[in-house]
Amino acid sequence: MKQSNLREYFRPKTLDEALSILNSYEGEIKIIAGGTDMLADDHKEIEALLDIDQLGLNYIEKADGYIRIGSATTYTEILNSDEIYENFRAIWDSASVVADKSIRNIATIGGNLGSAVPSGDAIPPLYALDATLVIKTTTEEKKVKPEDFFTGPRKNILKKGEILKEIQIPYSDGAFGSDFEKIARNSVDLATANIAVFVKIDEDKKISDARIALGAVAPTVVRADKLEKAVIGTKAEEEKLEEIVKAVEDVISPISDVRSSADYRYKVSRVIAKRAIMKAYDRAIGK
Amino acid sequence: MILMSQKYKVNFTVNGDQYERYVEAGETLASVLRVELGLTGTKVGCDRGDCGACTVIMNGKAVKSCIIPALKADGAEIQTIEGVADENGLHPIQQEFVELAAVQCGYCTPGLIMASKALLDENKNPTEEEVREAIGGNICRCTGYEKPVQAILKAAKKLNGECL
Repeated sequence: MKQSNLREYFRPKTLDEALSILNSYEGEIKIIAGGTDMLADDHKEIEALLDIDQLGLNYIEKADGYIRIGSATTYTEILNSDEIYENFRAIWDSASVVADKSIRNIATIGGNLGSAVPSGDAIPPLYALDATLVIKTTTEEKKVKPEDFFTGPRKNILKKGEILKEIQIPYSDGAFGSDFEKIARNSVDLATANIAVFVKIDEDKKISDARIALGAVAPTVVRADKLEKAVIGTKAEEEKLEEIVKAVEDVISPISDVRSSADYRYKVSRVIAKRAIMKAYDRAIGK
Repeated sequence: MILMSQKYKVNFTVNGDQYERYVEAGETLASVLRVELGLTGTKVGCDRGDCGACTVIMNGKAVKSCIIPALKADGAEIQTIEGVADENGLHPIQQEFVELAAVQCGYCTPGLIMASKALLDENKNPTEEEVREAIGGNICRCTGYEKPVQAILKAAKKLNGECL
């Protein structure tokens, strides 16, 4: 919808130019890439928009040991990447269920991190896949982990003068698998709860490493560290998991809202944890 | 004191015609299409990216024009419902919507047709699932999606030259 108090719109062609606009603008300025989240409401407090869709920040590139995803890469671009599908499946899966296709055509992965809503589907996979976020300022490039980036609902550490530039995710060796699961009222809704799981297995096909992150059930995405430890050594057997997944309740603190009760979120978090661990494991063993 | 907001020049192509307009920073593409260009075939329902009535094709992709800043469309190639039929008549998707009566009140129809045209432009032979995914962001409150889905699948066959 129309941004009724917006007075200026900047759409620079280079990152340097974008940073200098951010630094010199004196009023309330907001960065957008796709803008789909921003334009869903009239943000009367915002006086200027800095549109970063022309900075060449939409890319998916292999680097030495990791993949680089530009912050202005759209979900559709992620879905078109075989590299992501094969190596970082939880990201691909999450991109496939964000909103609907016409939004995925324009909404970006970086935008989801900038908005920092607790239910953002792009976020749990970044915890599970051990991503690093690269923030650019005029003087430096800072690297932060997702755990240190998000500080609360719709809050992150980005300060004025800083732009989220890219996401780096390490490639794994050996046998590994990942998965993303989401519970929502309907296909285009925000998540009631979501989860991303990454597992590695050893020669005996036992889980040797696990990273598990849940969204929409706490003020920020949370790692289920106890559960991660508990699945190590198992073969993701369903009966065992039924018991083990109760460990998610220690780290989540869901609220009741229009989408669901807190009680339901507690229960469904266990269900999706079990589901995602089994799926990630099946992918690791090549099933 | 009344603060006048600055107007920005925006250039884009709509249905093959080049336009230049001056718009406010906070204006949406949907509003420029409807108010500035008079192309009211693009509907605005929710005005917040949920219902899909405002779907247009921008640079080959279906987008919701009510959540696209007009200035983001600078330099873009846009197609609206007004540009879908040509001198030979209705587009096959439109023909099949008529044929199968996939329309009730009609408010969602332009959006449904633009979303499905974007799909058929890049995928000549979609599965039913792909069709349903392509129109997943288009809400119909009259009747449902069965007939539109059938119409889109039939139109795809027609575009592929299959005899029906």
